[in-house]
Amino acid sequence: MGSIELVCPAGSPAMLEAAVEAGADSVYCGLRDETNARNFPGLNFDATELARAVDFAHRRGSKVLVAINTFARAGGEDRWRDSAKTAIATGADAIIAADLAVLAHVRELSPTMRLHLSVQAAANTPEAIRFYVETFGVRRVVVPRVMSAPEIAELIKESSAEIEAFVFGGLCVMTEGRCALSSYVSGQSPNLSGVCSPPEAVSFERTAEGMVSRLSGLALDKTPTGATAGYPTLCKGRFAADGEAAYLFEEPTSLNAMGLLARLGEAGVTAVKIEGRQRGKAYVARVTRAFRKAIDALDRGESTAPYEHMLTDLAEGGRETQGAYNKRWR
Amino acid sequence: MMHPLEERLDARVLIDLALVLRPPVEMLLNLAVKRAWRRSANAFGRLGPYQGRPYLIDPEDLPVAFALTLTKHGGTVKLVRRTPRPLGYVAVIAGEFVDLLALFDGSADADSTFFAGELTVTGDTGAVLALHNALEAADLRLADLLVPAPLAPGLDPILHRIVDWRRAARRNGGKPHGVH
Repeated sequence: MGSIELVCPAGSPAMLEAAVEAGADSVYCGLRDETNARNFPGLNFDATELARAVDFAHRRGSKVLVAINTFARAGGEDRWRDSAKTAIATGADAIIAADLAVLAHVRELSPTMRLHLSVQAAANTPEAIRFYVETFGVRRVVVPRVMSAPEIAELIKESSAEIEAFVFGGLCVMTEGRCALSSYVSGQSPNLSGVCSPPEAVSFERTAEGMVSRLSGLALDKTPTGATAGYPTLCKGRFAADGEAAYLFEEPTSLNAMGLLARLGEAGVTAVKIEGRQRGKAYVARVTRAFRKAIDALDRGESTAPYEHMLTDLAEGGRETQGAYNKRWR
Repeated sequence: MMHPLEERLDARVLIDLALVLRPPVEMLLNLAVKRAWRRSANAFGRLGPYQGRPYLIDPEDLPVAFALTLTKHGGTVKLVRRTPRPLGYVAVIAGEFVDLLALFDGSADADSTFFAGELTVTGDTGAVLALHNALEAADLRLADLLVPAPLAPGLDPILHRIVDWRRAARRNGGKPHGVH
C-alpha cells in the first residue's frame, strides 16, 4: 500500500476481482438488498459470494469494506441486523454505516469490528466526528462531497478519526444523506430504498434531434445527437427558468480529483475513494489502474499529471470537475 | 452506387443466408450460455424478476438479431429476423456487433458506451441493468461467445485485440490507433 489508501467499488465478485488485480488497497461492496445505497437490479453480493470475496481479497493483501449505509426502516430493522451479522461472519475488514441504530447494533454484535462512517451520515465538523468516535468507536469518516479541500484540511487538524475522501465518480449535489428528491417522482430515494432514480422508472427515447431522458415519465433532459448524455436524476435535470433551459442545480459531470491527490495527502487524508459500484469491471479496472499509478507516482515524488486525463471518457456527460474541492462559493 | 432495390435484395440474401445457418450458430451460442451458467451458476439468478423474459440483442451491422432468455437454470439464444417494431421483448439492446461483444464480456464500460450514443436501449431500463449485472457476474470471455470451447483459451486474446482495434478505429474516424 502507498501513502494514501485506494478504496475502490465492487458491485459483483467479478468487479471485486478486477479492482484487486488492478491495485486496489481496499474494495467496498454491499449485500443484495436495501441495506446498501446501490440497491440496483442484479447488483451486489449474497452471503456466500461475500465470504469468497473476502477470502480472495485477503489472499492478495486487500481489504473488504461492507457498506450497510442506508437508514433502517421502521418495522423492517431485521434486514439491517441480518446484514451486520453476515458482514461480521464473513471476516470483512470494516462496516461502513450511517444510521445511529446500525452503528450501535454493529458495536453491540462485535466490539472489535472496525466501523467507518458513511458519507451518508454527512459528518463535516470535528464535533460530529468526535460524537461518532466516542459513542461507537468509529475509526474512519468518509467526508461529504460538498466540502472544499481547505475545509477538509481544517477538519483533519481536529479530527480524532481517519479521513476518507471521494476522488472520482458521480457526484451528489445535496448534503449527503439528506436528499429525497428522487422519491418525490419515483417513490424511492437513496437513504430509504438504497437507490436514486431507480432504473425501472428511467427511460430513454431517441429522436431525430437527440435523446430525451425521463424519470417516471417526466422529461429531465434532452441531449442533441452526438453529445454525451447523463443518467436522469432530478438534481441533474435541465429546467426552464426565465425563458432559458439550464442545469439549475448541478450539471451532469463527474468528479475527478486526481490533480488534488498531493494536496489531499499533505492535508492528512488517509484514504481516497472511487464511486461507481453500479458501473462494472471495465470501469473499475481502468479507474483503479490510473489512480494506482498516480498514487505510486506521488510516493516516488513525481507528478500525477501524466495520468490525469486518462479517464475522461468514463465521466458522466463526458465532462469532469474537481467539484467542491475547489469551490469559491459559500 | 448500388440501387436501393439491389440493396434490399442484397440484404434479403444475407438475412436468408444467416437464417440457413441458424442451427449451427444457435448451437454454438447455446453452448456458450451453458458454459457460462456452469461456471457461475448464481450469475443468471441476478436477473431476479427478469428471469425467463426474452431480450432482443440487435447487432445493427449483422443481418439478423438474437433473442436471449436466461434463468437461474440456464438459458437459450435464438436467431431472429429484425422487425421494425419488435414485440414481446422485455428490452431491446441495439448497437454495432463489436460494441455488443465488448459489453457482453465486460471489456467495455456500459454507461459510457450508452451515453456516448453507441448503444440504443428500449423497453424496461431495470431489465437492461439486471442483464448487464448478470453478464458481469458470469464473467464471460469473448471466445466463450464466438468459438467452440476447446479453442476458447487460445483465441480469446486475439479476439480481444480485433474487437478493441475495431472500436478504436471507429472512434478515430475509421482509422486504428497509430495510423494517420
